[in-house]
Parts: sequence; structure tokens; C-alpha cells
Amino acid sequence: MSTVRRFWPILGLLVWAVLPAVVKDPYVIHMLFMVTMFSILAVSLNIAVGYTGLSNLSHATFFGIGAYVAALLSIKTGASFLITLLAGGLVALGFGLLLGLPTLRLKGFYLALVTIGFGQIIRLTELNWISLTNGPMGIPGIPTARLAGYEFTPVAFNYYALVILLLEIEAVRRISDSRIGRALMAIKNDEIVANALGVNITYYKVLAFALSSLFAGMAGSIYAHYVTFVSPDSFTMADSVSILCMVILGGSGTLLGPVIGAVALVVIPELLRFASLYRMIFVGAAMVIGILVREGGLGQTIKEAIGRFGASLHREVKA
Amino acid sequence: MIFQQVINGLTLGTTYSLLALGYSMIFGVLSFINFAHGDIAMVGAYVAWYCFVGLRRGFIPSCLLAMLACAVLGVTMEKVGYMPIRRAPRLAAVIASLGFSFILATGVQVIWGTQPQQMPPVIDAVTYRVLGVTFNSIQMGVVVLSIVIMGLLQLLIHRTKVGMALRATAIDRDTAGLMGININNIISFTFALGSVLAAISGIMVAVYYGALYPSMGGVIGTKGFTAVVLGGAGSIPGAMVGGILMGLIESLAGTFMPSEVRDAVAFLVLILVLLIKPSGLFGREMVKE
Amino acid sequence: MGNILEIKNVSMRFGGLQALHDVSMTVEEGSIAGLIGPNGAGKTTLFNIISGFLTPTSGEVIFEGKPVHGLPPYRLTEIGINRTFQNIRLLQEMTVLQNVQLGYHCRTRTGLFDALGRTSLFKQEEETTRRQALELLDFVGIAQYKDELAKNLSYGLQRKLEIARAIATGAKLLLLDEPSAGMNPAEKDGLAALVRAINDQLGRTVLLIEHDMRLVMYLSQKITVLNQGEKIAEGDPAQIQSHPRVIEAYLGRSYKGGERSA
Repeated sequence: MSTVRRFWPILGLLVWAVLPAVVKDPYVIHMLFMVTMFSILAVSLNIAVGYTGLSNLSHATFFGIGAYVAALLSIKTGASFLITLLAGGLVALGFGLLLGLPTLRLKGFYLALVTIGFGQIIRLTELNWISLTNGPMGIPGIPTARLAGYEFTPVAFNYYALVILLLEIEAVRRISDSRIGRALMAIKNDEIVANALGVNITYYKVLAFALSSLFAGMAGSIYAHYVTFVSPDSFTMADSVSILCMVILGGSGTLLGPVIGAVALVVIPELLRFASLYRMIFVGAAMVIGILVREGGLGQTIKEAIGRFGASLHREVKA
Repeated sequence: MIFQQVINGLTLGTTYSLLALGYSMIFGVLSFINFAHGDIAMVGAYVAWYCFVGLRRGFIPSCLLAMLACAVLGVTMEKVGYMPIRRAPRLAAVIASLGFSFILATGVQVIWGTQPQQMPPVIDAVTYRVLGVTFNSIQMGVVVLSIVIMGLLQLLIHRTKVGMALRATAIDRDTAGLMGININNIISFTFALGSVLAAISGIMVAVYYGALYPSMGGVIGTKGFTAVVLGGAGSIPGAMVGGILMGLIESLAGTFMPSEVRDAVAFLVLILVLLIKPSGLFGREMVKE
Repeated sequence: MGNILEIKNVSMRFGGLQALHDVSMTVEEGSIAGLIGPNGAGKTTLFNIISGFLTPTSGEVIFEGKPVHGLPPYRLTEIGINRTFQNIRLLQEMTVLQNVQLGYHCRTRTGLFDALGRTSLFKQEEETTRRQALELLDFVGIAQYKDELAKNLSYGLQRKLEIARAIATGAKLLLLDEPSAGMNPAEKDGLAALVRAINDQLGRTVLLIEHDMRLVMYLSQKITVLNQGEKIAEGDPAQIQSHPRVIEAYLGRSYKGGERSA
């Protein structure tokens, strides 16, 4: 990689690492944490959607599974946050296998529909299995993370999440630049050819889906200890959609695109918070416009229109 | 008891069929599930309700206005959001449709509030009792009207020139274009027709339950696209049968299972169908390209 | 040398359509063999059977003495048969180098934990496949495009890349489906030289479907002719050129009867 291409990511990382330490406003600290959280989710979803071409509209469900596991485990057994991190990740991975093994042979939109159905069934379970999940009331009083007797402050949580994000990005980088990454991309490009070249399609699809769920579950564990409360409303289909948008608009199949998508899609709706009710209209419009710019050449059209307008002005001035 | 549930299921089912037809036709020509379609039905219900209750117009003119509004809305959505990305990956179109869904659901909340609204009875419901089964004139009206509309749609698709063009476009858009069919017009027509059917479906659901609310688009939309998958994506008879089956399954499940489970039934059906026969009852094989 | 491939009494039926009827043929190890015939003769169907995309209705495919019909494509790739496609199928959004590296997939073994841990086995394997892939790109003459996306290559270069990828799988038998389709005469000469080099220098056996008679006669030691799903002739180029049934199949019965009308 050239120095120029390294410059922006390194600068970004520096800002990301320094901000939680210097900013005093708890609201900004919280927003930074949410950006990191959604970055972990977007980067993990990218493994399935961006590299392997699997549609998944229930990524937030795996996030939620990790959070519930962490909540129950730490409340009932007093397990430390590192244990719940692993457990949350692994249980989410287990659900990923459960969903993925029978369904990953399905194409495109069929898979998207299955994931929607799966997400709704898990949500209804969370709402109705009251003895385990406390239903719509959610689970309060989750112990915060603790290391050597010290409770994590929001700033510490920022660094905890950032470390996990960096580990995740490095893992994705190593996978994408390997025999496995090439197999995943081949599946996205042309399953028939990939199969003919000896790529075991089912194995790699399930692997991608499982890894994707693993990191989402880990994010769930971090989040549960941070907010100390989980409920079914924390992990909705709207969140899944929003994570998917981060991947697609940020740049699916690229290493850092999803992070850029996450920063934009967490910060922009926050800036619109003043508009309260109108906010989701702007979010919806941002999704449509984002897609039109990325896939429909809207940016080009606008540029050309401005160019024509400029040219006509120029002519008028001359005349 | 069971017969009673069959009658109720049939009523609900035919409204799902009308919605499913729109999903299926749009899937046919553009190969994606338009997630905003349920919200169009919701907007249709709101426009009809506002015109009927708020502006005190007749029920029929209110419905016609709602159908017109939805047709314009559907076509605008297609022109603005879907036409520029016809050649992009279908996941992009799905995201655009989810964006539209957010816009419509929130837009209605902004205009008419987040609380459910009451839909007054449009006709004096007469209740009939035949062989121990009760049904009322609203139910009968819904079923009869739905079946008539579906019959007309079949005629349109199989007996008219525009129907033939629509089928050709669904089979192969590019080749249909080369055969002199104006693809843009056909796709606009599909969206207009689908949106009109959605409006009727939304109004029927509102009249049947006597209520309407902003998130109903998502609720009935889910039933609609599950019906499409059940019947076979892209298949017109499939959408009709799928919708009716969906209504029956939901209604019978409500009798035999606790109500929490009933909500999950649509999704269980969705997953089961996709696992066992992804092409649905009437669909083409879609697992392998 | 013996036969690397034997096809014994293969028939293929699609519903009511008999695509292949009782076809038998052999390919000698180390040779270049041609498979010709008019459109719809069943050539690509036979290729699909040999490469595992179709299972024959009846008959056997024997590769290096073992029956292989009915095995899935990836198993055949492992065993040593790989193909190119009539309508080129590259991994469009991947680079030229990645396309060839992917050819080595079935010959390499490192898994997830090797990739994550960057083990010495991983580094060694990546290094080797990368070097070999670059050598292969050089061999087919497109090394300078290694970092381009496959979709950005011209048609002729895409064909070469597809051939390079097939070689990379380590195939002992390469099936080339109309490799010269859409090429101009100069490109065809280059292709002929390349196929020769694959055979001479790399020692791979080649079976090609080809419509360009000059090319196929020049390259092949033995040619098999299919017509309407049946084998009608087999022999060296000279025999094929003068074979009455071949002439009939290509030019029609009227030629033989001398009743051609203008």
C-alpha cells in the first residue's frame, strides 16, 4: 500500500483514539461509542454482504443475541466482560450457523426474506419468552465491565470497543487477502465458476455468515455492559436496515468503506435529532439519494447539470 | 367453529391477495421486492379515510381519489428511485425501497399523527347466519369485490395487448424492448396498477378492522410478500392463491394457538416455504440461475 | 502413450430431446484433440458431461483409467480436468492476478486460522501461488495487466486469462470451448501458438471445440466429428477433410448429389 493511501486511515485512527480522551461532553463520548459500535457491525456485515454477496437483513438480530447472552450470563453467573464477549460472539455464531446451514443455498432476495423472517421470530421470542428475557420490559441492571476492580467509564468503553474494531478490521484484512478471501469474492462474482474451480460453496458461505455473526454478537456483549439494559426494541429491523446501508453506501467489499458508512449514518441522523418526528423522513431520503448517487450515477448527472448551467451562464456573459 | 375461521380467513386472505399481486408484478418486471408497497396500501387507506371522514365526501369518490393518489405515488417512486438503478445490483433497489418505506410511514405520521384512527362503518353491516356460520355484508363485499378484481386482472394480463407486453417484459426486459415494447411505459403501468390494487387492499383492511395506523403498511406488507413467496414470486395466480392461503393459515392459527404465536405464523410460513420449496407453489425454479 | 480420456457409449437426453446418442471417443495422453461439428451437434453437451456440469443419461467417462461421470465439477478439477467456457466466465470484479490465483484454490490447503495467524505455511503457500500465477500470466502474455479488473480486459485477452486460470488448476486435461470465437486472424495465430505451447512446454493434454477449420486442422492430431448428437467420423485432419459424411454434415446432402442450385 502506498503512503498516500495509508495517510487518511492513520489520521482517522489518531483522531478516533484521541477524541474520547480530550472531549469532556458525555453526549459526544456516547456518540463516539455508538459510531465505534456500528462500525464493528458494519465491518462484520460486510464479510457476508460485501465480500461474499449474501443478503442479510437481520444483522441487528445477531447483535441482540450477543447482548442478551451477555446480559443473562453476567447477571446470573457474574461472568466477567471478557467471558461474555466470547460467549455472546459464539452464541451469535451458533445462531448464524442455525440460520445459514439450511438457507444459504438460496439466492439473493429469497435469502433476504429468510433473514427478515428469522429476525422477526427471534424478536417475537424475546418479547414473549418472559421467564428468560423479561419480555418487552427488557433486562435492566446488567453489571458494567470491570477490570482489576475498576469499573469501566464511558471513555474506557470507547477504547474497549475501538480495540475490538481494530482487531476485527485486521482480521477482515487478513482474510480478504488470502485464499479464503478470494474464494468468498469468487462466490460473489460467479458461483458456477467458483464451484468449477474447486471452491466449496456451502462451506465458504457458512464460514462468511458465521464470522459475520460472531463479530455482531461480540458487539452485542460490549453494548450490553455499556448501556446496562437490553430490550427487544434495542435491536430492530430498522437497525438491520441501517447497518446494511452503512455497508452499501460506504462501499461494500472494501475494507474501510463500511466504517465511513457507519460514521456518516450515525452522525447525520443525530444532527437531525432536533427534527424529531421528521427525522426518519430524512433518513429515508438519505437512503434513496445515497443509493442513487452510488448506483444510479446521480452525482454525475448533477455535475453535468451544473456544468451545463455554468456553460449557459458563460454564453450569456459573452453575449 | 372451523368454518367460521375459514370465512374470516378467506376475507383477510383476499385482501392479502390484492396486495400480493402488486408485489408479484413488480417483482416480475424489476426482480426485487418493493418494501414500500405495503406502505402504499397504508397511504391509500389514509387518503380514503381523510377524504371520507375529514372532508365528508362519499365513500366511493374517496376510494377513487385514494387509488389515483397511490397510482401517482407508485409511478413517481419508480421514476425517481428505481428507474436510475435498474441495472444495479438488486440489493440497491431493496435499500431504496426501504428508504421510501421510511419516508411514507413517517410522512403519514407527520400529517395525520402517530395514533390509530377510526374508520367508521361504510355500510350498515347486515349479519347473516347460514348453517351456524355467521358472516356480514362487509366480509361478503370484500370477498366478492376482490374476486371480481382478480378476474379482471387475469383478463387484462392474458387478453389485452398491454397484458402481453407486461408478460414479455417480465420474461426478458431487454428482448421485449427490442421487440418494440416501450419498457418504461410498461414498468410505469405495472407500478400504477400495483399501487391501485394496494390502495384497494389497504382500504379493505381498514374497513374490515374499523381502524388504520401508520405502521399497518409494514404489518400487511409482510403478509403480502409472504403470500408472494408462498405462491411463487412473479406468478399472478400464485399471488392470488398465496394471499388466500396466508389469510386462512393466520385465521386458523389464531384459533388453535396463543395469540403471540399467531404473529410469528407468517414468518414461520415464510421460512418453511423457502426451505422446502423456494420457488413457491406456482413459481419457476429460482434457486439456481 | 495411453488414453487419458475415454468416453464410452455416452447418451444424453433432455426430456424429449436426444442431445447425444451413444457417443464413444478417446483422447490420447499428451495430444491435442479436436471436437467439431455443426451447431447443435452436441459438442458443448459433451464438454458439460466431461467437466461434470451434466451427468450422462447412460454411458461412461473414464479419466486415467477411472470412471468419473457424475462427479461434481470441483471434484473433476481436483482430479485434473478443467475447462473454459464458450461465453467467457471470468470473475469480473476480481483482478487478473486474483483470477489466476483462484485457479490454485484446489491445490492449496491453508485455512481460516492460517490466514488469521499468517502462519509460515500460509506465507509460503501465498508466495508460491503468487509467483506461479505471475509466471503463468507471463506465459500467456498478459502479465502487464495483472492488477487490472478482469472485466476491463479486451475480449481476446479475457480468453487468454481464462485459459491461464484453467492451467493454474493443474489440469492434466484442458477442455477449451471455442477458444478462438470472436478473434481476428492475428489473434487466432497467437492462440494457436499458445495452445501448442501449453501442449509442448507444459505437457498438458488439450481437447478443443472449434469452429475455425483451419485452426483445428492445424492444431489437432486427432479430430472427432459430431452431428445431431452422434459421432460420424474420427481420424487425423487429412482423413476428416476427405470424409464423405463430414462433408455431407457441413455442406448438406445436395453437395454430394451434385444437385446444387444457385
